[in-house]
Amino acid sequence: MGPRHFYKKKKGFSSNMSKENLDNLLASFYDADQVDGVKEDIRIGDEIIASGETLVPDAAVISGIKNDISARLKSRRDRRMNTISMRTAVAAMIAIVAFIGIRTMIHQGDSPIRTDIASGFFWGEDAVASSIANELNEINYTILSSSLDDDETESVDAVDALEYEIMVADASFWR
Amino acid sequence: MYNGYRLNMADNNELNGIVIRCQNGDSTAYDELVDMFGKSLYGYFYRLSGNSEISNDLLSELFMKLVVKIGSYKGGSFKKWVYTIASNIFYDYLRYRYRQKKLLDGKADTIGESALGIDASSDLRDELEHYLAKLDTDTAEILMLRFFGQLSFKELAEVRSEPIGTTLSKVHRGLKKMRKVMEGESN
Repeated sequence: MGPRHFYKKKKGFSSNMSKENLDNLLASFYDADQVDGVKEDIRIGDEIIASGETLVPDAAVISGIKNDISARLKSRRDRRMNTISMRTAVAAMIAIVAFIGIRTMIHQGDSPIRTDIASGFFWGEDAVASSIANELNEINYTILSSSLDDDETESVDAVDALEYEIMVADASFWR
Repeated sequence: MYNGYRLNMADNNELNGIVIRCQNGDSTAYDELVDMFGKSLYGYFYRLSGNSEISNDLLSELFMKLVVKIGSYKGGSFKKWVYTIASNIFYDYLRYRYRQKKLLDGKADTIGESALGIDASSDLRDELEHYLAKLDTDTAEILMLRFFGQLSFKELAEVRSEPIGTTLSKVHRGLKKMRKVMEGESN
């Protein structure tokens, strides 16, 4: 197979970089009398590369990659859900304990906030309790939202990155 | 289609939509991305490593890395972003080979001096492989980036963090050398 084979075959390889104005680019870096020669070198070189065998991965490899990605996304989702559930449970527990503690203090009459609450006497005790419950909910929400903020993504990403490193180190490819 | 590796994508909007879905953890979007880029990335790795098993491993490594890193993609040419990762993975592989060779032989050429992975273990035996083997690694890699990634000179220069004039000159010299080798052998 001689060079002429490439000169005739498969014209227009460079059209894949069509957004680029090769003439202008070459004019910026080469003398005017060199531009045509350089363009021709590039065109023929491109044709040589394009003449190579088309290399296609096995369908099994592609499908394996898709499965690996899917499994990885699933495990990431599960991990996130576990983290959220755990933090929610902890926050709820703190809120309940705090609520019970405050309620007990109110009933015993030794609460430092008793006076403040007493000012709400006319609301009745249920109204006071409900206002405390609302406050606690807000605290709970604040704890939750701060713990699920960007740090969550970063820590998960850090775990992902670590997992990835382990996976690469473990891959049979490196053996 | 003329170039068998041309990315199968309608337009940038479609690709951006897929990338956003990937960032949101949609596994079907990743499937689309694998279909879109898998063939050309495999071609890139295979041409440079000369070995299909290694190429499969590198391809798989790339997509796993992509899953981890996709959150850090902030816009611009996604193709360029993907091929930057591919290029880094390829050079990591070369460094690994270099270290392994050094351990086994007690000596090794500098990275880039040897002709890629194209050696006795290569299972690619076409003429292009033969021509590429005559080039230094750096030049061969840039040519493969350009061909498989369909990258413009500007994008190539950005992937390689070098001035566009340097990239242009390397591509020109590489292609010219391949042409000379081919013509020399056909005469």
